[in-house]
Amino acid sequence: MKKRFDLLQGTLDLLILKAVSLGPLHGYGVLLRIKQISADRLAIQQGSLYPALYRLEHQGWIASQWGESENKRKAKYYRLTASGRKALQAETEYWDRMAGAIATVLRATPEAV
Amino acid sequence: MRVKRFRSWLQATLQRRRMEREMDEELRSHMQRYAADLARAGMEQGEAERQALLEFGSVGRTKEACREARRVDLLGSLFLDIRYGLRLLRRSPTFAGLAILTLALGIGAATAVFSLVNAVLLRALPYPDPERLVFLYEPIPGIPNVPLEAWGPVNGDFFTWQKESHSFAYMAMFTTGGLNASLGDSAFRVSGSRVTADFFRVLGVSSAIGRTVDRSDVQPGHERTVVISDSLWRSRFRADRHVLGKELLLDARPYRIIGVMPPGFAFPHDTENVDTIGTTTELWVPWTMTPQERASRDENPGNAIGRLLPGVSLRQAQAEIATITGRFDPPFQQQHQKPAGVARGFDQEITGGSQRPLLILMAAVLLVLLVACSNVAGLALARATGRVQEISVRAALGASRLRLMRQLLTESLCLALVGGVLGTAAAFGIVRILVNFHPAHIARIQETSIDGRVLLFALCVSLAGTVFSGLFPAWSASHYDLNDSIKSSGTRSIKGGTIRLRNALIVAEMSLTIVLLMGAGLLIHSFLKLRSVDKGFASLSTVTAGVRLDGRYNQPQQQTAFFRTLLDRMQAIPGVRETAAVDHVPLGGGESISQIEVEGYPFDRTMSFESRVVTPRYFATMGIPVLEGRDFDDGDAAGRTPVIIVSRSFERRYFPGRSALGRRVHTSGWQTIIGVVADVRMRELDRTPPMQFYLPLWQVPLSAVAVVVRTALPPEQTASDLRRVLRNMDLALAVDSVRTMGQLVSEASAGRRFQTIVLTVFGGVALFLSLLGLYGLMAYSVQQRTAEIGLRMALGAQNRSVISLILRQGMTLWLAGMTLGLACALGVTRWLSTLLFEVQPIDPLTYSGVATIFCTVAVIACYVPARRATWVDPAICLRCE
Repeated sequence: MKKRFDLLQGTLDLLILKAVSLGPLHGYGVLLRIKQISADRLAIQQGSLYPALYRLEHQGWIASQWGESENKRKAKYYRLTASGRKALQAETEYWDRMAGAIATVLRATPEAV
Repeated sequence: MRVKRFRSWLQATLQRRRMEREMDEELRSHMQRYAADLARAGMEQGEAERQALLEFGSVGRTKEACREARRVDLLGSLFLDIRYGLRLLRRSPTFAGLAILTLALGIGAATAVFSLVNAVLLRALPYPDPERLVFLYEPIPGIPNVPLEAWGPVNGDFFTWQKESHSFAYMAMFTTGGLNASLGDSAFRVSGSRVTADFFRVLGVSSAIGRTVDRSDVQPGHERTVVISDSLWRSRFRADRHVLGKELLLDARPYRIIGVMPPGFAFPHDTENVDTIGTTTELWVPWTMTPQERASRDENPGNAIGRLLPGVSLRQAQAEIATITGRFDPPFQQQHQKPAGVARGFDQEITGGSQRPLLILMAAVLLVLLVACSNVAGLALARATGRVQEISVRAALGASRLRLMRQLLTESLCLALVGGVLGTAAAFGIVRILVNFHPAHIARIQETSIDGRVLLFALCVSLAGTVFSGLFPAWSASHYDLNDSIKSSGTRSIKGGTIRLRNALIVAEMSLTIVLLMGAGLLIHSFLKLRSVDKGFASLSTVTAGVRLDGRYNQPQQQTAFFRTLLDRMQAIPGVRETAAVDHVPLGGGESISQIEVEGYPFDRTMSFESRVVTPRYFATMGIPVLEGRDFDDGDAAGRTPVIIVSRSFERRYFPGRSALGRRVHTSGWQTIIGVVADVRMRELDRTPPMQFYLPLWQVPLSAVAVVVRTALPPEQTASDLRRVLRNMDLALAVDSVRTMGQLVSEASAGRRFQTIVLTVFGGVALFLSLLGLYGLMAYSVQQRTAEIGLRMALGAQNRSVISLILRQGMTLWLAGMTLGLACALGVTRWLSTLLFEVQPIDPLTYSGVATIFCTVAVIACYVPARRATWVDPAICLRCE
């Protein structure tokens, strides 16, 4: 059985940016893609997705546009903007450093101290 | 980034409904997709939808979080602030009313004055591309007392400019003057202008009906056509649309009407040319010239205007005209210097002179506004001190400092906006009053109105007022020490800072007021001096009216005979004391300047003289004293010894210590001096007149004169007598504008009167406001010190010592304000020096007068609260502690 993780504070934005960086998506599509990439291990509270999308759009990191979905329904598509791309890069680096640091701490053994 | 965020916020706020709709749509489609996916996985349809809704969580909360993300509520909280602010203001109506009235006064006055500035200096002239319009002059250097405006080019030089310059799209010349017009059996005087072919093209104005003057009209033989103004068309032709082709008699010759101009077009009118004071041009006739006239360099009968080619600057045009003119010989007489060529923009020509007075008024009104704002700031500070507890509680409950300042500033904004609306409404009225003073010296002032730019100004002033009057109180109120104020239950914890701030405001207010009062005082003093200045003529009840003969009277004998008969018949009317004629009455706008040679002196071309041509009894009619010798009499006629009368300063300059009588002067021939009269202020009241001389009309015939009549009858009676007499002599002649000398004097001082009254009113308002502020501060301080005073009195202090305690506090402020104000005034009043008359910018009388007035009122403002302090009952006071 696969285990599902709850998201750490602040990581939702990063995941959304990453998801839309792979190609424009509508809100539900973002949810599906994160689920797909994480092999269904990351659970996103559906209600918290949209405030995050609106916040990112307000900051200018993503932009939205109404278009037609695969089954001919109208949908609002989000795509990454240039400043969003920079933000994603910065956030990713930050995350890597942070994860590395935490991993180092967690690997520590009594001998190393 | 910030911009993007602002745009996102603006969109969300302005297109709120759309954002809501899209949000609904987006969330709904999310749930539909999820439900569809669940159904595909085998769930039953209804169950899938329920499951989707359930997993999504609260839609309402999500939406609220989305709105929050885009800061949609910012405006909402502003409205909340405003509502809260208005509620608070409603609860303290005295404070709100006082503050709003004060601000309305300041904003109203500033808006009204700005609307004058707007109409006169900012608004474009009513012609297409007005910045390309210029006046052209050909002054001869070295001749004093002749204004630039009088130096229209001589015909020959104008046409050379036209031929050789490349800066102009069109150039034209025009004359100004009165004409006798008659239509049917009624004769009337109109101001008409003779114009060359391109006149209307220069101005870029076309006719409303028919056509304007064009090149075919100015050929000799085609000149009997006329274009009339809209007002003439309405008043004399009852706005008849079939007016074209009708005939109008001008100076007893028929002219065919070819066009009617649009309403408002009256160029050249009085505000646009110094030579045409009091006139509004009502018709234009083609100016035809023979080849000789076109080449003439003997006189300058007209003024010249031009329209620059697109892209040509005034400076380039000026340089080109100067270069061309540099090749010309002196016109008129060879003994003059070579002429110069000058191009001057319309804006400079028309409103250049009113710039300084208007900007001074603007500065004055901004000072008043500043005083008003400081006053409101003082009130708000006092009120904020009373609100310490409320503010502390809000701060304790977690309101940030910024949030508190925003709340307090919003309150000021409410005050200023309400004040601004009231003030703008008041400005409509103030503008009417200002314009009704008729300061004819300020061109275009009649066009003053409240337009978009004025409203924008009013808004900006209101916002600036908010900042000025609200920032201090808001800042200081948001910096209370929480612990202090809550512990001490708020009532007694006025921080020293607040009181110091209020003191500083009052001192600043008082010093600004002193500056304004000084300005007003200096102008009043100047105006009083001007009123008592020796004008040289004494009779203010003398009636004047212009009479002009036309081409039918082209022989000198005819002209002389006509005017002799006219004056004899006027003299015979019962009630008429004296009657005479002159070419230009003093202060009437007409001007005649001559250069002459005095016997025994070489001709000096740098000397110029004001000259007048008068009939016998002119001096008696005007009340000009004859100091030596005699007046002209009817014996000084053509063929007799040529005679001349000179002014006292003329005699003093050329015949110091001796009598001028019997000496000779050369004008057009040698004339003998037979009399000396007083100097007369002919052009302006506030300038020492240059040397003057008078020639007898019977020896120097003219076709146009002003008849002057000294009479006990009312002026209207004299005017109708004159009309009747003239009509009996010639049906085609009409009387021009009838005025009394008193009216002319009043018009000549209208500009000063205007500035003086306005500045005095501003000074008064500022005085009132700053003393209100001082009184308020003192009353407040007495109230705060009630306990202390009670204690002092309980310990045996006398009324007198209590009063002096309070007075000392007020007087310290007063003294500081006074000192600072005087220091500022010393620096600032220098700027007024051009507006002053026989008064120095540092005038001891004015300074001491203002100081006395200010002192008296300030003592009253301090004494009343001080007196009240002695009514404190020590027992009550001490008990309430």
